[in-house]
Amino acid sequence: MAIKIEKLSKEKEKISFIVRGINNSVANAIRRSVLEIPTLAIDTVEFYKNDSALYDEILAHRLGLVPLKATKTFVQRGKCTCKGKGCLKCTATFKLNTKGPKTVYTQDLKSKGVEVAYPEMPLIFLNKDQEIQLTAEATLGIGKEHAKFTPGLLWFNSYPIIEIEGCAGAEDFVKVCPRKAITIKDKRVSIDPLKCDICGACVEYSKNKEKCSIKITPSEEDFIFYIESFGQTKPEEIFIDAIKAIDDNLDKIVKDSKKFK
Amino acid sequence: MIIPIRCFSCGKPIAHLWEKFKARVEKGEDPKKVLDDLGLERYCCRAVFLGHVDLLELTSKFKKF
Ligand SMILES: [Zn+2]
Ligand SMILES: [Zn+2]
Repeated sequence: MAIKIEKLSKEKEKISFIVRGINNSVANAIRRSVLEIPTLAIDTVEFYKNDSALYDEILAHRLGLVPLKATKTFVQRGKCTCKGKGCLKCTATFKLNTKGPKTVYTQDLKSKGVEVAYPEMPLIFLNKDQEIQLTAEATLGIGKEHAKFTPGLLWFNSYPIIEIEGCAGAEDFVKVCPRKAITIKDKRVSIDPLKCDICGACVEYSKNKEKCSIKITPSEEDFIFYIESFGQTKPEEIFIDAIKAIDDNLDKIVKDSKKFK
Repeated sequence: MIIPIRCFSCGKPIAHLWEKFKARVEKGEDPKKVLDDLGLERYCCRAVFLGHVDLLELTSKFKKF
C-alpha cells in the first residue's frame, strides 16, 4: 500500500495529520527520533554578580530551559571544525547586565544572531540596587542528553476502523461516548473517527441492545499524528527533522558495516 | 516563587503566558476561560498556573547571605 499523508489541522504551534500505509514500528521510530533532533539551548552560565533572591544554580537552570531559535548553519560542537573548543559556528554567547528594580525578561538577553523564541518570559525579579551580570553559552544538543534540547512533542494513535450494523433510532448512544464522537444522522448512528479514542464504551453498550452491533478496532497501518512545537521550529519541521535524524543514524550503521567487506 | 519557564510534566514553555493570565484573572475573568484562550490544554500546564503564587517580589526584600 502506498504511503499517503492527509492534513487535518494546522495552527501556529500545533499540527495534526493522518499517515496511511505505514506500520506501528515506523510510526514509533519517528516519535522516538524527536529526541535525536539537534536543538539549541543554554548550556553553561558564568556569573559575575547575582544579588537577586534566587541562587545562581536556579537562575542558570531557568536560563537553560529558555527555548532558542537556532540558524540552519549552526553545527553540533562535537562535529565542528574547532574540535570541541567552541567557536562562532557551534556556540552562541549571551550577555545579561541589568540593575533593578524591575522584572528581567528573556528579551534582555543580548546575543549576536540568535533569537529567543518567546521574548516575554520573566527570568527573575530584581529589587532596588540588586544587580545581575552574567554570560551564557548555548550549544546544540539532543533530547537524549537533556530534555531542554527537545524541539517539541510528537505523539500518535491508530486510526479507528468503525463497523456499525443496525442500531437504527438509538438516540441514547450520544450520551454513552465520553469523547462526544457519536452523532445521529437520519436515525443512523455515526462515529467521528478523529474524536474516537477506541475506549469501547459504545461497544459495551451495544451488547445489551437488540439488532445492534458496533465494532471498533485500531488500524495497523493508518495513524493520526499530533505534533506540538516548543517554539524553536515549526511543528511540521519537527516531523521532517525526526525522519532526517533516523536517516542519519541509519547512515552511521551503513558506514560502520562496510568494515565487513 | 516565580513562574517556571516550562511546565514540570510536559515541558511546554509557559512563562510568557503568566502575565497575560494574571492580568485577566485579576480583572475578574473565569480562570478556565483564560486558560482555554491561552491554549493550555493539558491539566499539567493548567495546574502550574492555578497553583502558582508570585512570591519572589516579597522574598527579594530579604537578604540572601
Ligand atoms: Zn566550533
Ligand atoms: Zn504541561
